[in-house]
Amino acid sequence: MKRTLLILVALVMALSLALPAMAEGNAAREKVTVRFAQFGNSTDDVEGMENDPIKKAIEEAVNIELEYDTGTDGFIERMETELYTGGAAELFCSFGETEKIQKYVEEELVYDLAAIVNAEPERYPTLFKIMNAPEYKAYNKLYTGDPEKAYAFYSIFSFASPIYGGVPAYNKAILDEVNEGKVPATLDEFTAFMKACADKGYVGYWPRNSKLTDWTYFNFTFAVPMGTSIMAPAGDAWTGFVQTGELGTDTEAWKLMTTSEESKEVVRLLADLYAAGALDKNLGIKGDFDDAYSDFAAGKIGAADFGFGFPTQYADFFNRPWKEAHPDASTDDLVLGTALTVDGKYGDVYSLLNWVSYHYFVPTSCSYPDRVLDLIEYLASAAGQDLIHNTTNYAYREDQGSDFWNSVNSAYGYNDGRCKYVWFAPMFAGGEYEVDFTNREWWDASTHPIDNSWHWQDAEYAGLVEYSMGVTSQFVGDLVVDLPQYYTRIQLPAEAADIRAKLTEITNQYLTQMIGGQLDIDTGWAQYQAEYEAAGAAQIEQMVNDAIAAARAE
Amino acid sequence: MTVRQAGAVRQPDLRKQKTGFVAYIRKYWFLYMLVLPGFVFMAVFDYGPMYGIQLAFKKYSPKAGVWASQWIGLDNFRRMVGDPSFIRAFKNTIIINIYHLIFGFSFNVFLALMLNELKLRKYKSVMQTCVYLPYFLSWVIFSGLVQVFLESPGTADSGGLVNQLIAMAGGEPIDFLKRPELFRGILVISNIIKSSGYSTIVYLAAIAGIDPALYESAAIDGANRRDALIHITFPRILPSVVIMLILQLSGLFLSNFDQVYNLYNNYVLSTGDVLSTYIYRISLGGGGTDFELSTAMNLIMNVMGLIVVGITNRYVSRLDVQGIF
Amino acid sequence: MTAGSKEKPSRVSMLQRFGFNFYDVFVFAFVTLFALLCVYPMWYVLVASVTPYSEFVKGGLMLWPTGGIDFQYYHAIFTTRSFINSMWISASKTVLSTVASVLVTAAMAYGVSKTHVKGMKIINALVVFNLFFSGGLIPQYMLYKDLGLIRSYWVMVLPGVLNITYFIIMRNYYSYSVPKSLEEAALLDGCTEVGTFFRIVTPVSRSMLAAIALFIAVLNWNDYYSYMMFIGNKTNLQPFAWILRRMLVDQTMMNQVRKGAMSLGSQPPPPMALRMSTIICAMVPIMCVYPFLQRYFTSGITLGAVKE
Repeated sequence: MKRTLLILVALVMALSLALPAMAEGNAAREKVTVRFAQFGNSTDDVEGMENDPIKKAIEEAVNIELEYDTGTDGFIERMETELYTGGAAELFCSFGETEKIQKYVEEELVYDLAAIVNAEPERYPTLFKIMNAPEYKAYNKLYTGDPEKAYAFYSIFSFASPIYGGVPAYNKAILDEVNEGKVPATLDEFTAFMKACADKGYVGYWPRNSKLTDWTYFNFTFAVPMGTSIMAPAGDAWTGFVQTGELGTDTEAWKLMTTSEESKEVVRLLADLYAAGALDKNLGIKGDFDDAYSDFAAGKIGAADFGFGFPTQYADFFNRPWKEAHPDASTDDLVLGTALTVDGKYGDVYSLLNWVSYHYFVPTSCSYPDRVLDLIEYLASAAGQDLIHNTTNYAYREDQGSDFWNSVNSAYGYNDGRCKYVWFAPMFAGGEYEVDFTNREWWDASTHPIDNSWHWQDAEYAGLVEYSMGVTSQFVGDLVVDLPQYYTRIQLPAEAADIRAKLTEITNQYLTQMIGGQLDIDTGWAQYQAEYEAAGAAQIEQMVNDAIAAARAE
Repeated sequence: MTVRQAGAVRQPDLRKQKTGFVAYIRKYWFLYMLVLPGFVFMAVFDYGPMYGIQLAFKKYSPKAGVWASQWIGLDNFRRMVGDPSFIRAFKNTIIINIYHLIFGFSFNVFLALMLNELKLRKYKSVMQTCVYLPYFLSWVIFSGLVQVFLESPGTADSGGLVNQLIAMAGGEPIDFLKRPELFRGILVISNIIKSSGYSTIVYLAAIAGIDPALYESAAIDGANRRDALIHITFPRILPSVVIMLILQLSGLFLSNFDQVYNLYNNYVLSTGDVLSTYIYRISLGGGGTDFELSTAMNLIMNVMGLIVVGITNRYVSRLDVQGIF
Repeated sequence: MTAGSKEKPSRVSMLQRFGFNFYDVFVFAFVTLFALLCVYPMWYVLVASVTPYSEFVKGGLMLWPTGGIDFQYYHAIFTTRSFINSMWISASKTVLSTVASVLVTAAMAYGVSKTHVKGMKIINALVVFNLFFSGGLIPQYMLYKDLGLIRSYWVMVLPGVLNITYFIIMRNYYSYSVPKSLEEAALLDGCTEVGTFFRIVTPVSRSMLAAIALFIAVLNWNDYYSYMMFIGNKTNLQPFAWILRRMLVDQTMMNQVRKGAMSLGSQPPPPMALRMSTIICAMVPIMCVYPFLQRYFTSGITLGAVKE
């Protein structure tokens, strides 16, 4: 521990020598406090925070006092209240919502960062490069109409490896018992497996569903192979739609499938499975995490969806709840499935390769925005990235393993073995990857993040992650359709939000009742379609197609 | 100083009222002193932020501040009312609260009287402690338990205790939490179990203040205990009952978000969706904050509550019981 | 005041006179059944808090701890520093605000209950108005900021000192349940207003004062909103109710505790059991207040005793 500290201090000193201008500049300035607010960490471990060497190194490098502010429950409400009453944290982020940044700008709540950076290019060399990138300005234009004004620092999400979230984990024992250990590969095989489970007294499949308000996993598993979508048009602009023309060309046309005849067949299938006991009778009432996953761990469920598709989620699911209920479990006990096919085809899942994940703001109530930008500049520079991602000039450091990082990060509620600093890691890449802004242009660097995650994990965990990646990579190329880049810049009109919320409500209620057998599908479907039309389904279809066409034209 | 002034108060008649105001203050200075701290707290913490009510009719702009924000008339209200789901939620809120009032509220009074009727003192205090316990479980946990109890039998298990009992008695299992017509009942009963015991405290405190001599003389007159309950105990706690009733009525248009949110699901929205859960789903659930909308909603609900309370208050004052005003 | 000793013999004689009949059986059965219904959820939580996860996932009614009793979760909680600290915060803020709140609210209620005194009716209307109207979060936040209460311990104590609901209950109790004749008699006997309030009115109303104190104490003990909205990131000021809330809904809090348990050399404890044991820890202190106050509810003082 002492040795690593020494190395760290030496590193920081070396770096500050390497960047004399910056270090001198800030050392000469008065020390200020920067409160940094980030969702979802914890600050309960006071002692651990005081001894955090990374925090100290950052504070020293920028000559500031860092104060961390975080939370989950009520956090966003508090942040918004603080912002609206003039007491916001000096640096805070949103989840990249277009409406929020527009509202903040309109109310003059946040600084135009580009103006400050462009006034002193030599003080902010990295940020100067970033904010003058043409792609960065394109986002500026999207949000505020003015390409020269950057009211936020944008964090881009890019995958370091392909992922897909529609693959359930199977309980190996049940798979052996009802299906001779064979993993279902087609939709028919899967429904046969579910029914076989029901015959033997198990629930066949638990899709992650947030009490039947999240239809993503039903959609992946049943609707996608059947060439449709049962999702309400919410979330991504194209959710609930399928492409009938050719992407990236003038023939591009999206069709809303939520209430189509094809979707009706999907719902009919689900209702049959529900009636047969292959879906849990308490679906819609039970929660996912504590209730259903406990059932899965207790061996009552044949297969379950567990996450969004990040390879580490499979490993986490194995460790909890599975291994906690079976302390002597081996990695073979949980078998990962594959995406299902109908007539040999997977269906299409539309996905962006990258998108804006967070917006970082400096509020106008802060009297020293230049100092906050010093912090961002330092973190974006090679020195900062090396510090928070455990690298030396972007090459992974072997001397500081997960022991070192667990003791740092566990002060903030994370001891999952990640060798990166939980506080600023998402700031430059939404996936918490390292980004090389020094040698690459902004967009190039953001879309090619550096993933160091594999150098340090223990063998079992790494084995699980590699297994998960291996399974996914077998089919993900045939399944996922990458959308063209202009899809990141789609802007739906403001009225769309209300209609989408309304449609989501309708979908949740109708699908729940039809699958649960409370509403006959043949009569219910016509009502469903009628309500959809009345609530503005056609308008949304028009808006989405218009917005995409507009983004393509630019 | 206290002694000197107290002395002055003691013989007010001797001094004849000379200047009305000073004498009046001298006479009642102690009462005013008692009121003063509360008054200060009220002025600062309750009336200090009261100007925010105008946000219900404004579009809040932090740049301009509350006072200078733009008036938008009734737009915030229009946003709420022009929506059939809002009307449904509004209706549900009132119906559920009336159920709470009819069943829950009267059960509280009944339970308090029953507890008081227990003869063995030790047993009585044990029982009091028992019924008061569940109040401390938050709704997150308590509604989880309600679900465990009422679970319908599925492929892999035999359902919750209630359905197991029904099965044992030879009945058909009931999907309690999926039946819209049962949901309000579940809300009322679970609320009774969770908070009835706690609500009895205020009545027990009122009963404790009754003069035992009253019971003794009633017993001498040959009254049995049920008579004593009806003719002595109940009239004496009536003021407390009335005030609790009025307080509950003041919340007639508000709902217990934690309870409903943790218990409801898509199946029972038609009867179970209340205003707070609805507003949460359409606005706050998305992570945003709509200060004007929540101010407007609170205002309209509370104005209606005030009207209901005003009417009740007029009625109870005829019963020779002081109401809320 | 010799209330207790005076009253006992008379109660016993009452019992004898009324005898034991169907009515008693009904009362007994009703209360007992309802009490069992109320105790069970607690019992469930208690059992779950000592049950290993591999047993817990099997479900069931948790009538009895199967798979052995395991107190490691409590151990994990009591070795987490922020838990201990938050207990102190909760206890101190509960005591402070309860004392302040009961004094201020009861005193004001007494004053206002004297409706014949000029101004009291107006003040009463002003207070009751607050039951229905409040300015909302934004002006509240600005006020607290101006008063320097944001991110301060006192924001959990001061704003709630005057409690409108209990003000109304107390005011009604004073004006209705405390006999006017008693006060008049005391004044005629040469007692001052001050003396009447402290020596006559307060003792007579102590059962209600105790009830109000209990309500306010519970309210304060369970309050996490003021921390959540107005403090937020001062680890050392977290009340236990907030810790509990986070244990129930926030993963990072859970991780902290599990980490703490691991550093003690044990397996990371399962989340459900930890939640359950946190609930128990949150309940026990405030429940201990109850027995102390309970005697005021069961043994009222007789008016005769006061007159002596």
